[in-house]
Amino acid sequence: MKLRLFINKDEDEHIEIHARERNELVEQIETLVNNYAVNLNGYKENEIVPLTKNGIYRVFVEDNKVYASTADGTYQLKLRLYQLEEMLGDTFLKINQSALVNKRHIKKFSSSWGGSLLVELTNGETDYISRRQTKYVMERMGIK
Amino acid sequence: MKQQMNVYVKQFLTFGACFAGLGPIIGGYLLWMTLSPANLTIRGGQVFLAIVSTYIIAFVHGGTIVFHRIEHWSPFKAAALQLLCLYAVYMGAYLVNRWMPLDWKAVLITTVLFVLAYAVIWIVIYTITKHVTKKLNKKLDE
Repeated sequence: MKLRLFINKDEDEHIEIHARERNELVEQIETLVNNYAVNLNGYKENEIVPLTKNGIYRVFVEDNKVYASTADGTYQLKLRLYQLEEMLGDTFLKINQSALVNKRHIKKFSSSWGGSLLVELTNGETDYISRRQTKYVMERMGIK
Repeated sequence: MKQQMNVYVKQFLTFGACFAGLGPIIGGYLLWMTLSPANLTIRGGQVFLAIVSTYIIAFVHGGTIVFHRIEHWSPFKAAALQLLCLYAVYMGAYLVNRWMPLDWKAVLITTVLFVLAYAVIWIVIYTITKHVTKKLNKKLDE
């Protein structure tokens, strides 16, 4: 694979990958860029922890506060959910009015006896997909 | 959550009030269709009761639409509570107005019809959700 680097102060910074297929190298570059691109601070008691986009499993609202769940625990975020939705971009899906989930950490979808559509994450967390968001989730998952 | 519920209560009242406007019209229509001047033996009190009953039925019908907007309620819960409210208000109005004979068989038939309607709704919701889940998991595996 060829590497070309252009240094231009007047241009917006961006990375484009041209590959024949999605392989390990592409995924590693993607992970690196994603981890680099968004840096959030997570607050827990007196601790402030830098969180990476890829390390966040779910962002959710509870008692009017916004939290992010990661492999190391849950941290409070000092941003509103709509701001995070914009910041986190396409990797995250808004599944209901108070939660975003990282597509990369979705283990499976399931349905409850009550007819709710549920999403299970690789860390074992489960949340529901609201009826309003079902169509959007399906579209984002590539189902028309 | 409490704040959110207050919004739903307001919506319930608003929808209820909007729909309730139709109640007296429906009541009037029913009386018009069932009574002819020759057998107009209905008393004023009965007319008043019928209008109030149809007002309440329409109010509850409109208001309970909100149940399906409460995000954290499952479709099962929303449909069950809506049907329960409708069952209570219809049964109450039917019996109070004597639109239905005060007989256990009539009550039983109406109850069974409500339960059957609910079962059909539940089966449809569950089947659709299962289908969507299957599609999403298939995409996830790709």
